[in-house]
Amino acid sequence: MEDTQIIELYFARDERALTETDRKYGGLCCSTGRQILGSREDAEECWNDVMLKTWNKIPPERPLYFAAYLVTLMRNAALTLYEKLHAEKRGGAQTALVLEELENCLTAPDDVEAQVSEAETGEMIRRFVKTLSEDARNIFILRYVYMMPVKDIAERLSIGESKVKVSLHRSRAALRDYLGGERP
Amino acid sequence: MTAMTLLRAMSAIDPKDIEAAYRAKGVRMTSAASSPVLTTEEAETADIPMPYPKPVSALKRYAIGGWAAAAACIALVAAAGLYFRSNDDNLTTPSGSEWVVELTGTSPAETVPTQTEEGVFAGSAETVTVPAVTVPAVFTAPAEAQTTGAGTESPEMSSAPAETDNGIPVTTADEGITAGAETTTAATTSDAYMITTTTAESFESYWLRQAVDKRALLATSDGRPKTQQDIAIKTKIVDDPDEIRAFLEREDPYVTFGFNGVTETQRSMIMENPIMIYVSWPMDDDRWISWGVHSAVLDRSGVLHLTFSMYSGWEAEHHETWIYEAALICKKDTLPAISNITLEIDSYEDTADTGGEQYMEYEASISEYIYISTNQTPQGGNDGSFGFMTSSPDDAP
Repeated sequence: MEDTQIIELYFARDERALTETDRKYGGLCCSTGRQILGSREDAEECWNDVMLKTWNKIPPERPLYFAAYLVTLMRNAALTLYEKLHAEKRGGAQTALVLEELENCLTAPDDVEAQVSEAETGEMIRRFVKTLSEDARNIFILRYVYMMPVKDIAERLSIGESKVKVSLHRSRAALRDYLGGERP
Repeated sequence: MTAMTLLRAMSAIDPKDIEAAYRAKGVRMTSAASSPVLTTEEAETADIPMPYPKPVSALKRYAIGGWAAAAACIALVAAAGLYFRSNDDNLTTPSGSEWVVELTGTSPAETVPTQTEEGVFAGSAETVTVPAVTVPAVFTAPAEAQTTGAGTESPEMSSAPAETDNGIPVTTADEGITAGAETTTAATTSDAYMITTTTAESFESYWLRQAVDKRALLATSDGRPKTQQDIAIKTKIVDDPDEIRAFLEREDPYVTFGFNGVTETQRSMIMENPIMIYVSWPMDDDRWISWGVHSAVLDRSGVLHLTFSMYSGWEAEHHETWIYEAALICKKDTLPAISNITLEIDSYEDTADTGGEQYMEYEASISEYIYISTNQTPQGGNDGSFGFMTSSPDDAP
């Protein structure tokens, strides 16, 4: 079923919307959740929350990019849960790795001047991603939004893991420079 | 700002871009990247079906797109070749096949073309002349393991040809030929490694070509190509399957190029009786970064060209020592006798922003029996992201 048809089901308050959403994007979102949380059960719990949230947000919202919409909700929910769980234990198959990678993008993590809001950072990230080439952008997003392991990205894009690593490496370097320059 | 803040902020990426990434099914093959590293002449002499994209001219291979506005840098390509010397080429062969692996270097000047945005090659943009590098690292490896003893001078080197059948220059080392040790270190000492092997089969089976996604460098911090004195190359021939497996299976440093594109059956066949020719060298440089092996081509004359390329970008701010590794692994009883390794330095123009990726587009099997494994390792660990790069502030100059 096309995304637009699924969204129409939401607008019609037809519960098949949830079934179709789960059928089409459950795997993707749960995979993203698993990469963040390192737990299938936790990911499925997040996904259920996300579907409920989606049901409540549509309408009035009408996402143009439904997959992105769902994945964004999913990763936000998973990251929130990750932080909660992380206070108690280490977890998250990819999260720890991703956080370690992103640490290198922080020009001055402890700098008071670097304390910008998440919203401001989000806007910078949004602009930064636009500066990347299409391939680099896709790889960057698959890694840091979809939280895919490098190996999975390589397989998905039919390229070598090395290329993925190199691309990510360069993108992070560029991000670090970008954040340094953009920092208020 | 914390890394978690940054990670959360990724959700603010344009949904259109997020959606596009999800829909993306492959990476575009660019002209330079999708071309094996072969000269036109090499391509034309190839009559064996190639497992890989059809080769294009060297100009195209080294073409750089319309990136003139970008801050261009000069990159070097080092090519290592394994030169086959058969039993009838006036060489002394103790019995059966003989292995003599030598490391030498040549560095032809290369005119680097540019490509306009319309895709028209617009001639030379810059020419980089790289002086010759000669690395006197030599193995002798008679088939029946006739050990000559450590420190024994080997006569084979002096008879090595200066040029291969297809015109690829081969500079032959004329010193430092010793035998008896397992590894060889160029520039200062040279040892030999005795190995048992079988009689060579036809080359035809071993025609191979491949471009992979790593880059390497052979330049000093001031841009001068490394000389013999700058390079310490270690070579090793390994025929212990367990040791080869250990090499392949190690996780840190990463083995980033392995049996890609090789079926499990083919891999099993190789690993039933494998042999590995391993080459490594350290690079201590604050200017260049390496992506390692870029391509591997075994031509009809038996020269295996391992092409390394390099890239200079923001990493220049770091001062790091890298160890570059390349390993040829193949089915031992089907490998033709290899008598020579050459290092050739080539050059091309690259850009910090886009050029690197032009050479990193694909990797796959080389042939049914042969593939190349490459690796780069840092001294002192890695940053966990790139696999072979140190990030410790202590490494800064």
